[in-house]
Amino acid sequence: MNSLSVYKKDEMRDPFGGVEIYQNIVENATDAIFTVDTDRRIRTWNAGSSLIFGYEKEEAVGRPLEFLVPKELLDVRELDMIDKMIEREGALRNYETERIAKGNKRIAVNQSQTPLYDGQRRRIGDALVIKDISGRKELEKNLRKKIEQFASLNEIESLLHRDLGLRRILEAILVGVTSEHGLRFNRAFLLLVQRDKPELKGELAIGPADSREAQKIWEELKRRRASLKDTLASLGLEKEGPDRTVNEIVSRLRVPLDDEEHVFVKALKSGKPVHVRTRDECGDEELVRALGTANFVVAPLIVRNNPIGVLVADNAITSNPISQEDVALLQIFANHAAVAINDSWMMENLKNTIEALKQTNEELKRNQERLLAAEKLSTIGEMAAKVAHEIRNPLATIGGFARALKKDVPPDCPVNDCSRSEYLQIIADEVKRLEDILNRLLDYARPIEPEYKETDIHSIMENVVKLLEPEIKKHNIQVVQACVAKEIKIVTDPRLFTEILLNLAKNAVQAMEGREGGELRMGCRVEGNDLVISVRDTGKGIQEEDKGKIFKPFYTTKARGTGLGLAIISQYLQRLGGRIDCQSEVGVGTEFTVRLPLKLGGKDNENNTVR
Amino acid sequence: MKTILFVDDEKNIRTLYEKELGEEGYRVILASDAKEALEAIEKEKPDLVVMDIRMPGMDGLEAMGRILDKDNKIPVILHSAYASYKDNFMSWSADAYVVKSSDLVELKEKIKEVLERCSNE
Repeated sequence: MNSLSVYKKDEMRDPFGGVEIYQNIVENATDAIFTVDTDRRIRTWNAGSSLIFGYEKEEAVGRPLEFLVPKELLDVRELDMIDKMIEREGALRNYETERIAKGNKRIAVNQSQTPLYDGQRRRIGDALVIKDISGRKELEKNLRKKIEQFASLNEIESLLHRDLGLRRILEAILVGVTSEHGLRFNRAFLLLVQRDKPELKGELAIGPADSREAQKIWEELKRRRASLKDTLASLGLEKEGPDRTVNEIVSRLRVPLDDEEHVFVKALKSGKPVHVRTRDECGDEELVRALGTANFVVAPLIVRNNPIGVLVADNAITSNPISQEDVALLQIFANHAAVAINDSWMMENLKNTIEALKQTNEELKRNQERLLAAEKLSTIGEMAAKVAHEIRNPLATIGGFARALKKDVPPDCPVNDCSRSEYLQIIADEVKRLEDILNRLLDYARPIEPEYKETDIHSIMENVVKLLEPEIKKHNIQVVQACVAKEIKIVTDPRLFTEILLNLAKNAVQAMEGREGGELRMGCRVEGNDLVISVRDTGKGIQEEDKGKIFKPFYTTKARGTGLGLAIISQYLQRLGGRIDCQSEVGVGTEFTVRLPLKLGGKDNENNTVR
Repeated sequence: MKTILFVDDEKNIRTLYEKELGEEGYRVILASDAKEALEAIEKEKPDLVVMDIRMPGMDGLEAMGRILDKDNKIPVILHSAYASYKDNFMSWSADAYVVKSSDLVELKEKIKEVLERCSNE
């Protein structure tokens, strides 16, 4: 009955109800599931175990567990540790370690282990479940490497987009290509499209000269555990060092852009990287010889269809193969590099444009100021002329009477009358001075049409010095004439020019009054289309706040002076098409620079002689 | 004794020149504008006229023109605070052009010169 019922039960039993199902599961599992006894001898061995470890059941059963454990783990008593763990925690769960499969093949595994007990709750051994995670581990490792690589590339790229200056950007690019943390090529060469002609020209390279040097560098880097940043920072210092050979190579590389057969130009035209593997593929014998290899990658640098240059990378030192992935990564990096270089160029262009704009703006401002000054002058001039004439009549009367009265004082006068005569003389003198001022002012106000003729600058200079000789001697001033040319004849108005030079020299001499042993230096030279005449003194200089006003009429710092000298000079110069500038330092001296055009009306004047 | 007609609209100037030229040994007749000057010429027949240019009413250049219309033998010296009338062709028919100054030497010299030239003719 019992057996019947059992049988019956057997007939209709639930297929998932029996023990056999566990046997099935274990037997067919893809994980290794096996048991060991307390002596760690293998007692059961499923198909998954054979699959993972490569040993058939017959080979495995009876052998000690140790034969699956790498030697170094045995040395650190890994299995004892696991037992202790089980005692403490009740089981070992998802422990990742390494095991040895058949053929001494190392595999990464995930091991779980639980103790087995008999009916009396005595431990008879352990059940082990081991999963092969080598694939996952490999993936993880690759992934980590990639992440590292991307992180460093990202670091370099962020560096590239800062305004570093072209040179530093190029360096950073090459470091990115060759660094241990970057793309790990042995050497990298950078060629840029020249901005003034359609040609690729080698700019910069990084890499050791040979394997011995490479060994040295890599060991050094390893020793220092240099990060990418360190490598970048130390770059500037090593210009004369290990990279000299590659830089010599790169400096010889020149490829015209119309050489459509050249591998560099092909890469640029196609916009895709080219992996050259053989001499024939390269096609440029010269290039192979220069690089010392026919196995390299050419990555084009292109921004919005504009060719920027090419990046060439190789593993000429280690002869490591260049993978598809290396090529792809190099191109990604090259795209960023191209943008960075282009940005730097644009930045430079922008800077230049801004600089030019600034200059134009300043020029404009100066012209505007000149125009304003001229306008002001003409108004002042008109007014001054009117006033001057109105004043002239009463002055003539005052001075005339003073003179008349003075004549009336008898020569053999008593003392009182003598001083009266002296006073009258003072009145007459002062009136004379006022009248002189008026005359000069009226000269200034009245436009003078220049009379152009051939003018010998040297002889005018000499004349001026002669005219000032008494003062020059009196103040012990040394005169230096520094002219680049022996003979300078230009077409200008000699009268006005003499007046200009005389005024400047007079000012210079006056600035040095009371300073023993000053120097008056008169020079002339040619600058572009201008004849430049300079008058320099070692006098007291002009105060900063006065500099803007010295060319204005009636402005003077002298105790006696009309304040018209420089105003008249600049007006004369305006007529002659020239201009005047002033440079001065208080206590050191002043230099006035007069510029006269050598070309009149945009044409070379053939009567001008400078030699 | 030579007679000089001195024409100027400013009284103080006239006073000064009357005294100065008188001391030089000339007979000095004064006129304060062009009209007076023309009348004086009719009446006094001066040997020389010193003529201001800027005056109220008729200016000195026009007055000189009228004088010379009647008698182109009378020498005229233009005497002005303005140098700019030298550029005016009207002034070219004058015997001399002197810019007013407190120093009368130039004018006196010019008067002497012109009178000498005239008496030689």
